[in-house]
Amino acid sequence: MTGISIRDLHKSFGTKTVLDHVSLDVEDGEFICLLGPSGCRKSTLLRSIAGLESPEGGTIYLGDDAVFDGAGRINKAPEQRKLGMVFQSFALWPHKTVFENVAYPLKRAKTPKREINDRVREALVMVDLWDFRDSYPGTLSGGQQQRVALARAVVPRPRLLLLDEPLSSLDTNLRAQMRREVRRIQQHLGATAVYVTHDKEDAGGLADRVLVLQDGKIVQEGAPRDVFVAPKTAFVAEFVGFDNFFDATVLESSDDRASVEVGNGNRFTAVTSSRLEPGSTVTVATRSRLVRVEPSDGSFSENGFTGTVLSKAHLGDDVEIVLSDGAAEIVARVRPGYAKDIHPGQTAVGLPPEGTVVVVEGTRKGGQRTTSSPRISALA
Amino acid sequence: MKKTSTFAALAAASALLISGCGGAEPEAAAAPTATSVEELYEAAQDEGQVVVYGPTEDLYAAVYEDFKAAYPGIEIVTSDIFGQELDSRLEGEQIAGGFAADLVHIGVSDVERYKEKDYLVPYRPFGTEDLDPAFIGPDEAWSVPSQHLYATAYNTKALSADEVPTTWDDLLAADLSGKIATATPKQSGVTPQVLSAALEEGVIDEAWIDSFKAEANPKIFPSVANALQATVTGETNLAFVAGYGSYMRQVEQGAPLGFSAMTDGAYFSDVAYGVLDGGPNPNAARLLVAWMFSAEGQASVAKHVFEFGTMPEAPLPAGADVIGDPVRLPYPGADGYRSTLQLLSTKF
Repeated sequence: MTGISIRDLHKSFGTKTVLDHVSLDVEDGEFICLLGPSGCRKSTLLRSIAGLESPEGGTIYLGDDAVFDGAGRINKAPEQRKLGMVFQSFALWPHKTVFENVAYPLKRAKTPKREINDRVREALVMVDLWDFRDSYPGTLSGGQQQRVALARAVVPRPRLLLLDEPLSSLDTNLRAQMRREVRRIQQHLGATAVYVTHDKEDAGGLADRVLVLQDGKIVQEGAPRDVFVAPKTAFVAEFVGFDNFFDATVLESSDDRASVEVGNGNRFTAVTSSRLEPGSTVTVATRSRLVRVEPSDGSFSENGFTGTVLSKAHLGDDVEIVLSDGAAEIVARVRPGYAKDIHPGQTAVGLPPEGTVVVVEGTRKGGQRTTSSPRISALA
Repeated sequence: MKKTSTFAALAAASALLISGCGGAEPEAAAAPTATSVEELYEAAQDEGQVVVYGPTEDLYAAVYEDFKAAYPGIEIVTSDIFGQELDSRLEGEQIAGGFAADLVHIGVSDVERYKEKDYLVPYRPFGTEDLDPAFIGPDEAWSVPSQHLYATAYNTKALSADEVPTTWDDLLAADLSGKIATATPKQSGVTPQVLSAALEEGVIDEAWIDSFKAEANPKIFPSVANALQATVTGETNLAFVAGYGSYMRQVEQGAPLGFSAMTDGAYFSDVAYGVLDGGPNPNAARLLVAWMFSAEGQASVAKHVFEFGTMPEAPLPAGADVIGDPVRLPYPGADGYRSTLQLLSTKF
């Protein structure tokens, strides 16, 4: 196995930039997730590593091996990059047995027959499918087929494992089970792995490090918890589930905490990833699931204000409560048992001190500017 | 994936293979050196099979049986696969060390993409000296032994012969308003491809599209097959677009259908074979493609899949003599097709 080093990778289709000077390093044995919504070009980056896409410039090293160098005119074919790849569609051969599917890369490499038998057995035992070696893929479940695909990807002992939305076609329960399986196999092999997904649970459950992409650019990277709890941009915040956005002015700031004031004079403490200039205008975001609501006689010692309940609606397992401070709206999602005590009229509202973050203003997923959010224009 | 003979036999052979009794597994094969079909066949017998990926391989079973009768000892393993699934399959094979398939059998827009990816190796089939050069891809990356015809099918109980539209403007006639079935024009598929071909050749223009939407007021169905079925049942009088092969398969089952190709422009869609670089059975692959251009191959596609052979003097599919000699609309090209899809997305 080996690490990856990418520098200044870029690619465009006509005037449209698809990889925007991407640089990243992946440690030997590290599991990273490229996370983002459809169209963010996470698969393009993965496919460039695999050699299935040709960037226009930059470099890709697998260990010390330059597999792509735009200036040096190096662009090794996928089969020369010594990697394993798993696709969303499994890409198994229905006319080959499980054994034959897994053995295929070894046979192409003219591996001696005895060694093929040993290594296929090892791979199929690892994914718990040795007893199915004579079966055809069409007789297996989706999860079993994906385990065959995994075994086929790892049997040549690739230096890198690439996974392109491999669990997308599985149902929720199977997906969770396979997520654990993928992680177990990766750790068993000590493999360096790059996993593409739009699913936050996949990323959170698998990755040592998450890299969020927007328009072909890495906009945030870090441990899953850091990305999910403290997004740095409005785009990342919205993608990981923050759904209340509003403008505020910085009163004072340390390196990780800021005191901000919204237009109506309410003051909050928010998490920040850097020291902010007092007086500057920022965007603050929080998750509706973390917004606390108490009956009218309650109060919150920190980040609290008095709001008015505008509406309540049952949404699946939750109740959505739309609140106003008199000038703007904020949304809270609470459990039904809790919501029954919240009635129209005045109520106490609290923003979570650890779940309210300052984000860099920018274009969110739907192309909206943070300052023109339809839900919260400002608490002013 | 299936063999045109018996799948069970293949399964048995595969079982023998993994138990160590030998068999032909794909390895990078030497480039063929045959200088004739006879030499190809001789070399192909050592390979014993050819693997074909494409969207219509199930339909081609009878055609491939004819090939096997002509060249005993060469099995054809097919996989009915297309789109993203086909792309992933080929990419997976590439990463695993090389293609497990020998041929792709698909439309020109796909072989164009595969040529750009360097998947295809040049091959000019034996016996195609008289073939119109338009049916050989650039750098001989693919060849086109046959074409689908796409035009209109009508319910013969609803329309008499003299009521059937024979031009594009006829499709806008008031008495057909609300009685035409069409697949969603804005979703990628054969319907926008036909419209794109007509737009590119100037047979219709944007005003025609507007009139078709507003005046012909077609009933929109999820697919071309659904639109044809609606015409078979009499829910609509006419299906635009309908494939000649699909129409003939319905007629064989007794459906009350007729077929009409617009005289000012009918779309003949190329069905190409591309030889995959490094495929395990290069001689058998070339032999099969060469046979498709032979008199026997051309007759077989006309007979079994109702496609139009591209060789001079190729026989017409059954019933196709009534189509006449319409203006043939060529493939509109990837750019033309994309711009038509964009236009249609604003119209429908």
